[in-house]
Amino acid sequence: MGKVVVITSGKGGVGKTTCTANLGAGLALDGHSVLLVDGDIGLRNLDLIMGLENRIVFDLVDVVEKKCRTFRQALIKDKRFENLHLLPAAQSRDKDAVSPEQMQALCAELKEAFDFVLIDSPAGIEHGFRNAVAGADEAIVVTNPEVSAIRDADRIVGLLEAQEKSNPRLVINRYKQDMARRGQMLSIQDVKEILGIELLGIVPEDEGIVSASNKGQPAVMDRASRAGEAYRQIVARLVDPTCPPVGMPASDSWMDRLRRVFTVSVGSSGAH
Amino acid sequence: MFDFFSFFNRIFGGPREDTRSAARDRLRLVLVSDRATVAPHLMESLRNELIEVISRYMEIDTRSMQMGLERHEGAMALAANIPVRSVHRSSAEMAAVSLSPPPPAPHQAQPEASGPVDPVSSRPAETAARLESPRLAARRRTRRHKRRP
Ligand SMILES: Nc1ncnc2c1ncn2[C@@H]1O[C@H](COP(=O)(O)OP(=O)(O)OP(=O)(O)O)[C@@H](O)[C@H]1O
Ligand SMILES: [Mg+2]
Repeated sequence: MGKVVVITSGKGGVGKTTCTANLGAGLALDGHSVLLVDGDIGLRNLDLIMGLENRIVFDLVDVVEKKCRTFRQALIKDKRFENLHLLPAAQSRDKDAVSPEQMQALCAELKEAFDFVLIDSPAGIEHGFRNAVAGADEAIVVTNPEVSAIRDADRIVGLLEAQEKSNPRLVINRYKQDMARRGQMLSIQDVKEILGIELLGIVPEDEGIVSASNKGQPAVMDRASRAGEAYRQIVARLVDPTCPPVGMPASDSWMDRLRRVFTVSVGSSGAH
Repeated sequence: MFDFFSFFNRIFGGPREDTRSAARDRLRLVLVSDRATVAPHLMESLRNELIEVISRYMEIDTRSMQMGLERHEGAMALAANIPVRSVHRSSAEMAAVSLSPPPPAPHQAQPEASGPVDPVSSRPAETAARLESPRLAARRRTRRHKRRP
């Protein structure tokens, strides 16, 4: 039996959907069977980031309302991977179309069929959030190293603990190492100390994320991508908890950029 | 340690403010009050438990009691204003003897076995006296010394 992991944040726009897409693709590349569930009913996006937007017939609400025979009928298979599927969110429905109890029942069914079920949570702490976490075994809290995102992440950690989703783990996204070095951004240590939860990974600010979204190709598929490398590390840690602790993201100084240009032109296919 | 990067930035990047510590300190403070106010029962149950504990020692006016988080020069403080009507004499004595006494200082006379005995603990009263405020204890010693010769 697999496990259900919810990706959540409190504040909107910090990178939950990007994270869900990348971890899903990364886990699939690593050989696990993965289902991505878009929990953002009414604001469907995961399909677009994954490049699967053209093939949607049924959605999450249809499954819950039993408009299709089984959940399998609503799944979109990702042709790039052997074992990656998406259950899209309903676009024309309201968040209350589904209840936490229904989500719980659905998740119990889904994790029988997949190694990992990743749920992309909507922003906020209301109904959509409660739905997304209801059936989850584990939670990943995504934040940016900024005061408002961290404050909201703290709120989410409190809510998760209150619902006995214990030990949520933290992903710090859009980390800008040079700014932190200049004392203009919270350091990783600061964020860790303030939130006091286990750090699962650090994803650097990376313009490549935008081009990856443009193409509908998660950055984790690109061997040369810095953010992709960070996601690969997170995947390794998700699969094997005894993995070494989180390392710093690759630095973005001009020396490192130069070095990357050379290594990329020699060895990688995904260079731009 | 000499930080090459901040030195480099100071020279070439112009003066830049350290906003990181401001972010860290402000977040720490705001999270204290967030966590306390977000849970509606937290302050309420803290208040009730405080009343319970304090009432073992003194009679307090719970109706005009005030309690809350206050910001005090860069730190959050739990501030309570609790009017005391009276202190229970017996519980004060009990509290005094239930604390374990410090080992007797070498220059101090050992309490006489025949000396007055504290009714609550059946320990020599000298032991209890040592736990009084230093001023009270000193006064008691001088009284006894006067009596002795
Ligand atoms: N590491 C990164 N570097 C640069 N840009 C990023 C990074 N991660 C995410 N972004 C950008 O941030 C924006 C928001 O990302 P995303 O949609 O994943 O956030 P979200 O938390 O799912 O938002 P919402 O709360 O609206 O669902 C997108 O434009 C995305 O391209
Ligand atoms: Mg999203």
